[in-house]
Amino acid sequence: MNPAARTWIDELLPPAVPVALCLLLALIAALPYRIPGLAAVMPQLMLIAVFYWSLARPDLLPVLAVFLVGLFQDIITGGPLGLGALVLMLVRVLIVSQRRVLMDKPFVVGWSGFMVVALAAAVMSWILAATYYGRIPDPRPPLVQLVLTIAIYPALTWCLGRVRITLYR
Amino acid sequence: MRGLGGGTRRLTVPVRALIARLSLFLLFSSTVALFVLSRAENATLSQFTNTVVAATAPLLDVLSRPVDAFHDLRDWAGNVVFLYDENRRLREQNARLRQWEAVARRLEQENDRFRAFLGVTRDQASSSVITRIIGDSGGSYVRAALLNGGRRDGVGEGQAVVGVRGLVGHVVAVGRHSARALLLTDLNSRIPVMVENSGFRAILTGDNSPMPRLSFLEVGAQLRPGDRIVTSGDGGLLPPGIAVGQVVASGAGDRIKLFADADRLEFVRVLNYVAPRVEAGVAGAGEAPE
Repeated sequence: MNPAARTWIDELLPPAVPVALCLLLALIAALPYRIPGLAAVMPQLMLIAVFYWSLARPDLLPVLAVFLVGLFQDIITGGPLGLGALVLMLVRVLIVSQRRVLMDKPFVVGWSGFMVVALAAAVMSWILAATYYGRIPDPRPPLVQLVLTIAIYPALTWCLGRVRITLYR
Repeated sequence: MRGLGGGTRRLTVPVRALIARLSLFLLFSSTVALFVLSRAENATLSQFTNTVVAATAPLLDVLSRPVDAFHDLRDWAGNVVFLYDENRRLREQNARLRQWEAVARRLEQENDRFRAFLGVTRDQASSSVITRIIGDSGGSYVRAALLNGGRRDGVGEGQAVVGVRGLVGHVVAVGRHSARALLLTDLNSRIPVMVENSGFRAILTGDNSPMPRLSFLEVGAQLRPGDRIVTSGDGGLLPPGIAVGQVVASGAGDRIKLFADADRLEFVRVLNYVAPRVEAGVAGAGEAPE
């Protein structure tokens, strides 16, 4: 393999996996599970993924990638365009700036940090949705969604951790 | 020489930081711009989103099959376990349905005789396309479903989406092979309906809750729990007479319990309805309808 191709692979391939994972998570969240009421409270898998990668390897998920996957999620869900992208980008910027505080701490610290971030993201999404639709949306489904997202955080980050260790050492 | 090299290195770091901040600002502004544009229902933007959805539809189709297989397996297991009871229930239901079939046939013939007597033309039969639901909205503020059929299959914007028991929603965006249907429960769903017995008109308004409410109910209308609500056909987009739901009394005004269970459906029908139009030059076309 010539050096040019190798550098191309070295440049583009590493971010490809986290981005592909985020896109896959968006699709998984959009599947019809035929469980009544689940669609309204589906946990925000992509929020967890962006939080995780921003904390563990922000170089693998640059801001542009976060913008694009957030936009993809907005398009798939049919919600206001840019809402998800905005919230996810803010999360990334926030986490990267606070990385030193959260790095190499026990898992519970990261989880608590995520709870705060998820709550802030939920409130912001709610306000933006109210602005967009011109109506006050019922806060109960987003609240249940927040709880479910926080609950699924350990499982998902464990999977992402395995991916990171396997691929990026 | 060394000083020069060191000098250029010292220059590029703040420049790089500036570029980073600039690109961040650009991305944030882009999201705001997109937010505003999508609110304004920009056509090019809609086309772009439709293209993305269309591209992902085959993937969703494939990914959703295991979910359906799981549910089929669960239903099959349930059927096997309760085989005897299910059999008896189906026999009884069959007997009842045969009686209704006889009544329906008699009424249909009577109806045809009346129509012929009055000179009333029969409503145009609408064709329909059966599509599979391949995606939920997955968002907290949207109640929608992604369908496996698009323009190529005859699906068009505004068409009614019907489940086995009643109306589910209507199509809001169509691609070549996929479409998005806004469910009746969505915040933005507005369907012209009427109370079946009395004929009073209203608008079925969704608010992201499981039971939509009736807005703009005609003055003088009285709603009773149990009243059937059907589409009124006003506006010409949805065919009249499709079952929607039943009035249930609740604390905060009357709500409609929908017949169709959109969460559990796998297949839906999209109705290609063309409203009867008044043609120019026909005698009596000058008179106002009704």
